[in-house]
This record gives sequence, C-alpha cells and structure tokens, in this order.
Amino acid sequence: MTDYAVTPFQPIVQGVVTATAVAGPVFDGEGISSIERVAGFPAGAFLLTLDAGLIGNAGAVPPGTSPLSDPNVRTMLTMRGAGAPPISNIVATGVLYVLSPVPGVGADQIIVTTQTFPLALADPNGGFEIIVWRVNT
Amino acid sequence: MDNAAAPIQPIVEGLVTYPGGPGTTPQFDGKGVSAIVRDPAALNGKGAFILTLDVGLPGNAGAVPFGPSPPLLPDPDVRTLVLPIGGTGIPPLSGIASIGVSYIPSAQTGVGAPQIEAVFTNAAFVTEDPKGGFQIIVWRGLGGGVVV
Repeated sequence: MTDYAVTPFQPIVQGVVTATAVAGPVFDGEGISSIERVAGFPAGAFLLTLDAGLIGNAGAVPPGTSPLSDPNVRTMLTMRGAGAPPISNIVATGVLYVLSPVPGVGADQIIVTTQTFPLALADPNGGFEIIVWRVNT
Repeated sequence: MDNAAAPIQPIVEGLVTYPGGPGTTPQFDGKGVSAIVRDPAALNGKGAFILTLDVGLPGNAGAVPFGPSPPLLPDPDVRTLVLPIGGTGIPPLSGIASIGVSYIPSAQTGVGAPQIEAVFTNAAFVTEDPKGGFQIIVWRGLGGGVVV
C-alpha cells in the first residue's frame, strides 16, 4: 500500500471523558494519570494531567513560544450526544496546554473547556472523546 | 522518534453528501461503512445520520465493543472525528453549531456497536444538515482504563 504520510502524528492520549453534576469527571483510556474540574468552575472545565509513566515523553509536551502558542501538540475533541436523536448540547470548545512550573519540563497538563448556547460553561451531555498527538516540528 | 503511547486504528474514513441537496438521500463515499440512512427520530428529517460499519473489513471493523450496559453509557473503545463541510457561499458556512456522535449497540448480545450516529444542529439545537456534507473518521481505541 502506498504510504502518503508526510507529517507523523504520534498519539499520546486517547480516551473518553464523562462528567455529571453529581459524578466525575472520569477519564477512560490511555495517557492521562488524573482528571479533575478546574477549581472554581463546577461545569465545563476539565484539567487533565498527562501520564508521566508512558513511553516517550508522554508525560509532557515541549513548550512553545508562549502559553498560548505550542507548536508541538495537537488535540481532537468530539462531543458525544444523548437522546433520540443523540444531540450534543455543546457549541464551543477550547484547549490550553498548561506549563509545568519546573523549568524545561514543558506542558504536562491540558485544560479542556466546553460551552453550550447561549455561551456558558456546561458539561457535554454524552461526554467527550479526546485524542492528543505529539508532533515533531 | 516515536513518542506514541496510545495506539489508535482507523476503521472508517469518508465523506457524506446528499446529491439532491440538504434533506435528501445521503450517500457515503469512502471506506468502512456499508450503509447510511437518516434517523427518523429527527422529526424534521435533517441532521441525523446512522452509518452501518462494514463487516467485510479486516479486524473487527464491523462493530466496536461497547462499554458497560446500558449502551448509552460511554463506550471507551472508539473515537470519531466529524467535520462539517461548508456550502457554496462566500465564506463557505456550514450552518452547524453542535455535533454529537453516538454508538448504537446491536440487539445481539456480544456483538458490540455496529452502527454510528452523527447528529448536527444549528444554534437553536434544531437538527440541520451541514450545507456541504461532512467528513468522518472513526478510530478503534485500544486499551487503557478508568482514571478519576
């Protein structure tokens, strides 16, 4: 089979996150060692810590030129719906890579935010899927 | 350098369009899907598509194992990427505000989920077809476990 790949993507996280007002958040998959809500936000903001025990440097991704500009990592989010038909209540998402306070470590945490409409933080009604790739620039 | 720690295996990739225009019969052009229909639960006839996985593919691409019952609870073994395609306007807006995916379990015990549903809505959460169709990729997730 012809190989068309010119930009290797290396997955370091893949899993499903669920959360309700009374339970969670819970991550089910690989590459995350802990998950919690961002302090002060009871819905729609999740802090995921990369698993330092994995092969490669999956415990952190090298930092970019600023906290908002990290060229070394890609993330995909997909909302799961609920009901019939399974509609998602989320219209906006965001990700941010959180730098470790230890110099040279890089970003060892990821914040994911989810919002409904009108724009307000909200948990996805069916949870969400997440894949994180490490890229070699 | 190989940093990959979480293997994922694509089992579906393709493009869904409706040659007759939004609201008409959908068609799938790609790999890994053997049939596509609209979900009658979307009462306006738009925005909800049920795709049946192709059992003829290598691996277990005809179904993905589903998570704990009841089946609407999260399935940890599958990931999907859906991207709406814009229409012919300038700029090419898709008209879509929310996207939800769900995995439909087989009625037969032990088979798993042989169908995937993708649902699109506008900003009022009314089901709606993406103006130009949508791209879809499905990965089979492997391994891992629960973290809290």
